[in-house]
Amino acid sequence: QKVTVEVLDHLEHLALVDFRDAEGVERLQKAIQFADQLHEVNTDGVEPMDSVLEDRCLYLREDDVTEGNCTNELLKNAREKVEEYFVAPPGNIPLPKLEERETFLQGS
Amino acid sequence: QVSAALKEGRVTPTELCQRCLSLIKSTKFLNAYITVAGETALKQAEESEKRYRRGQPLGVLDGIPIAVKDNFNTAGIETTCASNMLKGYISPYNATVVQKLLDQGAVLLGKTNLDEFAMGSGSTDGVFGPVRNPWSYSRQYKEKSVPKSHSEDEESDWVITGGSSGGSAAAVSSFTCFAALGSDTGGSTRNPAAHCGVVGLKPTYGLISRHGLIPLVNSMDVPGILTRCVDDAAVVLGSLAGHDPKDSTTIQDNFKTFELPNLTDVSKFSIGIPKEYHAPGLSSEILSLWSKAADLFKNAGAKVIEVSLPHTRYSIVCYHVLCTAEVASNMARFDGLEYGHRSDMNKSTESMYAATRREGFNDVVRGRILSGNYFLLKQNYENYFIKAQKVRRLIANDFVKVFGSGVDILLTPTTLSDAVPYVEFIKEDNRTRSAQDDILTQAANMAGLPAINVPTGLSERGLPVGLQFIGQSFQEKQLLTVAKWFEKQVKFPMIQLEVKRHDHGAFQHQKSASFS
Repeated sequence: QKVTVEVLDHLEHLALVDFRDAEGVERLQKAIQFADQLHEVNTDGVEPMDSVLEDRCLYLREDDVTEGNCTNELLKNAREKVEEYFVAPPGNIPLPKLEERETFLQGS
Repeated sequence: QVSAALKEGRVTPTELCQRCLSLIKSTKFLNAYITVAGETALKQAEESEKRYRRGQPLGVLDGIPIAVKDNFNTAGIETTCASNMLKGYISPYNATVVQKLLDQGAVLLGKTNLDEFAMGSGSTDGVFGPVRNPWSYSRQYKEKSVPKSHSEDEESDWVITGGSSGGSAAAVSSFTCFAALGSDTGGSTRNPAAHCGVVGLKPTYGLISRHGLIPLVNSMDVPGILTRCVDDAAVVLGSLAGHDPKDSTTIQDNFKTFELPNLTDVSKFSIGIPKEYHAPGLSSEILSLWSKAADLFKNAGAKVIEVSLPHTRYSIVCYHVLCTAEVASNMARFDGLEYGHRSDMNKSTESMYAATRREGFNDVVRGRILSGNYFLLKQNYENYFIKAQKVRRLIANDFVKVFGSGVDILLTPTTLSDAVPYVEFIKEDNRTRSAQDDILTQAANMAGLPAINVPTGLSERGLPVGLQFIGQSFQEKQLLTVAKWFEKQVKFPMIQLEVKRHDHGAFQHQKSASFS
């Protein structure tokens, strides 16, 4: 089954990355087709594996500050900043809807 | 060998450094390096020289020129991951593995080229262009090439290095450094090692710190080691392995550095030959080399048996899903706010992020992010992501069963064929290529096992072919011991590079290939 435009649009919103052109969408279709081969495998009764180190305990350390005070270094790499703040454009404005957005998907 | 030379004063660290830097210049057409840190390297070499004069070198690695793949953070040196997203990014810290090497006195020559964000199997998809395999310029390859008419450009049949740590492999193979760091998520260290005729070691997951390695797949990434011989790999491993409080996925067990014994008797070993690794598309040359290798062990008295890893063919599909899912998550940090590229779009946070990522990532990266997000959608999570995790367990269990039955080491091919010409390679897209080329190396990452490529012989086209040994978790000593024995038996030929030098033939090409 082909992926619907709604889902493609949803993905562009989630990933904040665009498909750019028909090739991009085709790439996704092929990827899904490729992944469908997984369903040939019988996994009844098998637990999902998160990590190869699952048999070991995750360990904790003492809650002491061991490093920090590197504000200047960290700010050096940011393009827009004011005093000790990273500056972002206004938030709480969702990405424009499909019809109003500059996206390849508009044509579909 | 070179380390002994440094100790005895036959050559000084600064001389060594200068020779390497000059060779890097002569081999610029390989495009192996993105950034050459000439000045800092010379300073490090001078410091090293002072230590040798005082008779107090820090260790075997003191003064040894090394290169690091450009997805490791290096303080004060640009780290780009071959992407527009990080062009101009100067890291404020050293990755733990880089720090460890520097603490041992190693001289960091520069950052090597790779596929963008380590996604790919050819080192052809980075923004700085593809890396050329040094063997394209070897006498061995040229002799076997079909003679072309004078009008045809000699430049057009250079072969790829494999990937994604192609730059590191090319750097080691062309003698511009004595060891290099790569990363291995699906075979990214072993694949180029095989194509460039060098040793490529993927350590057990959890042995070496990933702190500072820009992550691709958190549950499979490991730093990889590329050297010209197995002994060197063991030395580098010794200096890098061990618990790092900054990386909670490193195990806490004490790591005991080891010296590789000179094994002469392999009769106590049981070598497994997994039949599923006779994958479709495996070249007959490699098949025959693999078979000869098995016979080599048999004739030396080792127990060689055929084994089965039934879920091998699903490993690449499983990887595809898990990798894209983790990538979708890991790439989310690139939004232009704290570091890296930032778009001029200012209307809203979301539109700025979207524009930044549109401008910063190439098709491959974007494709994986979108696929990953698809597999993680609520309606797909169970069917794809969880399913892949279950298959992962089946793959890991295959190995447990085989090793549990008495097999010590597995012997498999590393790649399906020798290196292909660049013009051939780009005919297929990145995902198809990765799916084809990672087939033999991927499963070891799934299961977190250590694996090593040992250059074995030359193909009919005069290009290197390697074989892979897969060992048991945290049994690097055993793995490297067997690999070293094998290396000694096959006596892989040294590359006869034909390169015009900048300095006019004043020095003899450094004959010693190894530093240990």
